[in-house]
Amino acid sequence: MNIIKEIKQLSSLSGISGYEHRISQYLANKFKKYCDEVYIDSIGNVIALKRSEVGSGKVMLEAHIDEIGMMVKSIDDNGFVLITSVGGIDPRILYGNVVNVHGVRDFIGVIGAKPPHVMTDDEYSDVIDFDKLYIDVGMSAEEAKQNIPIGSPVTFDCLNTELESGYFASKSLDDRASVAILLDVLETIKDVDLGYDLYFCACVQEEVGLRGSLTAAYAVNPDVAIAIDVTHATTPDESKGTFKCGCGPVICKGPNIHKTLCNNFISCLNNASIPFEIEVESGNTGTDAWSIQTAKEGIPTLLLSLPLKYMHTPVETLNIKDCESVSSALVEFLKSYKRTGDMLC
Amino acid sequence: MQLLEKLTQISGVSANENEISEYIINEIKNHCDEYWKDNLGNLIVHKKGDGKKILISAHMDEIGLMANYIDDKGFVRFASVGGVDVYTALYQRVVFSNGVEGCVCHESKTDLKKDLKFTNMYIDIGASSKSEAEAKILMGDVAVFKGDFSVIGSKVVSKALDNRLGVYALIETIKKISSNTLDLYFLFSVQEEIGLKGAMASSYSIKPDIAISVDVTDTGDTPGCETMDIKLGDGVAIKIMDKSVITHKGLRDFLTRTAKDNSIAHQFEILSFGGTDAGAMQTTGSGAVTGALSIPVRYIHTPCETASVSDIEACIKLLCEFCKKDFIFA
Amino acid sequence: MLKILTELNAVAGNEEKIADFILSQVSGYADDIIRDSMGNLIFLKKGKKQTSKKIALFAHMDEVGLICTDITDDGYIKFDCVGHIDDRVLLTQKVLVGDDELPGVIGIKAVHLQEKEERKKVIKKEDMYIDIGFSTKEEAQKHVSKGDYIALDSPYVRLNGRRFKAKAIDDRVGCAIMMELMHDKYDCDVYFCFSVQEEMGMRGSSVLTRRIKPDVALVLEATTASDTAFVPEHLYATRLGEGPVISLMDKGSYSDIALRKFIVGLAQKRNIKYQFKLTSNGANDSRVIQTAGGGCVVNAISLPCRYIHSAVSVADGGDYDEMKRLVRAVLNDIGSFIEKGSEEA
Repeated sequence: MNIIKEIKQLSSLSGISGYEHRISQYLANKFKKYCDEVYIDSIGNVIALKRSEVGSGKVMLEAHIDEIGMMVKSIDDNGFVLITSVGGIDPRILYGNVVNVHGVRDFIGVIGAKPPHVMTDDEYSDVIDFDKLYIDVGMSAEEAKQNIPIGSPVTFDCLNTELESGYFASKSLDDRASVAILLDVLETIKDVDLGYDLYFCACVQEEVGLRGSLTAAYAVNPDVAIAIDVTHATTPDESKGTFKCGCGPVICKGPNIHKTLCNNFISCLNNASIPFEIEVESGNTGTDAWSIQTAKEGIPTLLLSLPLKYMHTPVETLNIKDCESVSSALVEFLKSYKRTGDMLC
Repeated sequence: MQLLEKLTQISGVSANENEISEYIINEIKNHCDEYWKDNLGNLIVHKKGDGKKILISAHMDEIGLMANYIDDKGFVRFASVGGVDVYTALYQRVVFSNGVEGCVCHESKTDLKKDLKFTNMYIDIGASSKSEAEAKILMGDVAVFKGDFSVIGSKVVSKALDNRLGVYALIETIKKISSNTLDLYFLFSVQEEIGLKGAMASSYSIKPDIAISVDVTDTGDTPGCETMDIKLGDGVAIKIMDKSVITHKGLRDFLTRTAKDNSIAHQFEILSFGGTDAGAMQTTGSGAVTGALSIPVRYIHTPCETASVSDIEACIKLLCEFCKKDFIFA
Repeated sequence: MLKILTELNAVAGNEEKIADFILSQVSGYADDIIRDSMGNLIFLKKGKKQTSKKIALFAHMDEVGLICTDITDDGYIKFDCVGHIDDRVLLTQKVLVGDDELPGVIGIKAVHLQEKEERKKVIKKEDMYIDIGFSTKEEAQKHVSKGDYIALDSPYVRLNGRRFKAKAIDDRVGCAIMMELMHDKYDCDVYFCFSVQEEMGMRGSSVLTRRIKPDVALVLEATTASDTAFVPEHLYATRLGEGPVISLMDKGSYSDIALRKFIVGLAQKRNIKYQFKLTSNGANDSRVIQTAGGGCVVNAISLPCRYIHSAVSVADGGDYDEMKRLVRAVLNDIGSFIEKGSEEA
């Protein structure tokens, strides 16, 4: 599969937390091609099962499909659209961006604020927060109120820009890049009977509190789970605790991660000569791995990440090589994984 | 309104909901197939049906204070139960469950602008010694803020409209529905104000297909307030999002259609702080299709919570119409 | 026993050693044993009579500690805290690194070398490092890896009278009492639950609770005592020497009122010292036990402990004995509480 093509496709779809239906529909169709069962659960997660004819056991791969964005909270008397954030979004990056307002249909808008010329000196040096930002969709108040209901989601315009040396910039690569990896893994192993049931969970509402993965993990209740997400890549302004793009999969260690599972995964990568990095998280990883670990009666969980620059902006940037190596790492592990009774500590 | 008045004046600090739940039982016991209380004190009322399993919840607890230290002179130190604001608490009258009254005061050297916190405040219960105070209350006793019920024009003012309005709406709905195809569970939940505890436990055991919580919401129609598209009197609010939940779009659209078809005044709520039982119900176990209805209330968590009678009626009407149907939505 | 238990190392996420020890000591007293995938231990002790309600006792095995996040080029170890530790108590501590427990010290630039302004600042954990005596990264990497757990090293020492100092009094006292109480037989079935990762946010007990679904649970803990210099009396959370602490309410939960009254009544009847906590800070496993399995009646009985979450926690042997008496009394009489409960219902 051409991962970059799939990432472009996925990233061009819009779906802030709670409004992922475009992506879930798209994915349900994709999964149906090679999976035995596909359904969308009560909160909106897509759960796809590739069954084994010969063995038992359950492995779950998970990535989240929602993206950060904004929501319309009011329209003022002049037709400007007032917004609130959905997920962790830095208001400082918003001014001057092009956005899609998903009203009765999709409208293009720009994010404006009071022009610098009429700002006081204090205002000029201040951060422009959500209460001072608005979207200009070029409509009168009457038009806007008719076309843009309260609660309409707002997403960044999709850039899909290929940079040099395999780098690629777009919105919502967190975590659509990982979703593309899930599809790539599925396509690679579509004709292989792994000896256990493999579940693909594309989960909603991660960005607002790891919500979707809670119900998915509870329903699937796998023997082991692997969450795939992004981690911070090294940039000129931050080298501490970050990872160079191109380093391959980043494997997390810490209380959130099952030790035996993690060691098995690492030795599998060593055997396959796939380079990787270790990331240490002393507590909450802030990813779906955190909610999956304590679902039901406890699930041995692993977190696999790929480095991403400028997270939670419209110009999230990754190197496609990392996507490919995370995908191969997963395939290697899935092929070597054997159910060994209960995975004890 | 008499019932609402009664409900608001009963004390029911989080984890101390026995009195209020007994009162509710008395109201609904002849209007349901069965009811029971669980380990935490949640009251569950069941009206049987063959259709989908629906859970409709309203929390019955309210915020309050707990006595946790009595000094030598008989002054009572306290902790807050639920989200009590220090400035709102100051100089309020409070009533303990056994009727003992007191006022919330602060150490007089405290810098009120900068340094007011519960640890430098106390309750004066009129005792002049430790022993006199200890004869009146025990450590761990809880108190509610006083806030009489009054009707001002088309509005009601009282303490604990959060969330006795929801409780009232559920009771009225239970009484009004006679034959339902849906399998209806009404949950009067405990300990919402201290972390959605009751709903968390209850939805785990009930495992509903669809869950709706009924609570109050803030408004954006008072002088100098944050932008929010909710007005008192503009109808029941169909929740889109708060800090605990983003509601299910299909259910939300269904509720909206039901309101439109029956000419029920409604508006849409995006609350930028706070949460409600719906948050717990959506993600407990393998989850439920979740929505929420809110009744607009000004000055939430104060003794002068204010609501509009027409919004309350709209909420009850929408609940009843919703419960009548047996529906399918995408 | 307290000496052995507090000197074992079990930083949250790395509880195998203590779990193995507990298993080796008390397995003989249990009718059923479960060790789950997170590392929680459950021992069921069947009662003399049949009971419809499930009783559970909880104590957590984990302690706060450190985790290796990086190794510097000259062989020093960088770390993060696992669970909440005040940065200020870490300077100049002795530590044990990794499963092989290599001794190390947390160093700091000599005060002579610090500028005047520097001396006034709190040193953050990000700026600290552990010296285990290696001088190159390569050398250190042979013995230490990213993700290795690091425990505080602080032997159990008797102070004057019945006081003692140790690390991990939170919550080895709970473990010790449960281990001892397992020797006896009770009327009801009792589940003795040793949980993991309490310090990470009650992770282990949520999983345990969903497995057992107890009706009544008692959490045995250590809690803050602040009866020390410079603290006004109404802010003494609890006091050493005044007996075990019966919970009213804290940040995590509001203890069941009927159960609290029952325990207080028992204490009065049996002349067992007890106290309430005067502040509402902190939280313990009660928080999740109360709700995770569909609702459970919970209270916590705790040992007052000064300088909790530091290597020099101090507690009182008299309080410990009284706590054990109280818990034993509760277990012996819990049948009457349950019957009363069901009559009222």
